[in-house]
Amino acid sequence: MTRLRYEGKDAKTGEDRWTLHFVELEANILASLPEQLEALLTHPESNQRVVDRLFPASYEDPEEEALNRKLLGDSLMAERKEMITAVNEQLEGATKTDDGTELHLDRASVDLWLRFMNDVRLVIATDLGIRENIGDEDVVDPANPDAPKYALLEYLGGVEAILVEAVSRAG
Amino acid sequence: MAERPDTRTDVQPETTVRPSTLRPWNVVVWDDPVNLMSYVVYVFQKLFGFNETVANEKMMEVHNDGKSIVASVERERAEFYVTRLHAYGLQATMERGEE
Repeated sequence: MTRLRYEGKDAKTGEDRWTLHFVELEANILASLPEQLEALLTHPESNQRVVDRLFPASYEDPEEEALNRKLLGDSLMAERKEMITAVNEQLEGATKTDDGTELHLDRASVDLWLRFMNDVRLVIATDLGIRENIGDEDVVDPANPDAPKYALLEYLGGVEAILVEAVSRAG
Repeated sequence: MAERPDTRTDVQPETTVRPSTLRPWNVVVWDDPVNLMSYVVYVFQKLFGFNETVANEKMMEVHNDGKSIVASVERERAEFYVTRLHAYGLQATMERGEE
């Protein structure tokens, strides 16, 4: 089970620091996600509807939006790929423990993981066609072929909630 | 309370026309079934500097009303905010505000 431990402030920088602990199964799943997201972004035509959710329109007017996209160029896609690179660097810097993996986080890396996990959740939910708010009462039948996707959606949401609470509490 | 009639004779109709570029642009955040409520509050605090109370109010507006105007600013600033909100996975658009 994923646990977050507050490590206090860094002696040099004064920054809040946390350790996020994953058991091996969770760590393995987590480690597979950057590659999957990158593959989707590299080949958006493989699931354009899902990719579009990550890059929604800024303007309702199609002409304004076309001009906006032209001005932005590929900067939004580049930013997403930089995020994935940073997540991979975080994973490379993780510590192996007897029962899993520990990520060492400061406020910036908490923000990075929140954005990344949220992107993965948006991808899964869009792929599943989720249009209504998901509540605790929405138990998915384990026999449902999409049950693992729902489980990952819920799991990442739980980790997100832990991280948000931690940074909020730290002030 | 009744208004006092204006008896001055030198009053001119207001002719100042604000250039359209000065019209603010509203940054609108739309409801989404996936983003966690606590995450949306976090993003609002981070991007707009809202305190927790305001961030919660804005989030609840999004949740209950389907959308919330989180900023009314000049166009370039609105574009910046919308782009940042998209980077955090929130559904956001911008539209011309009232003069």
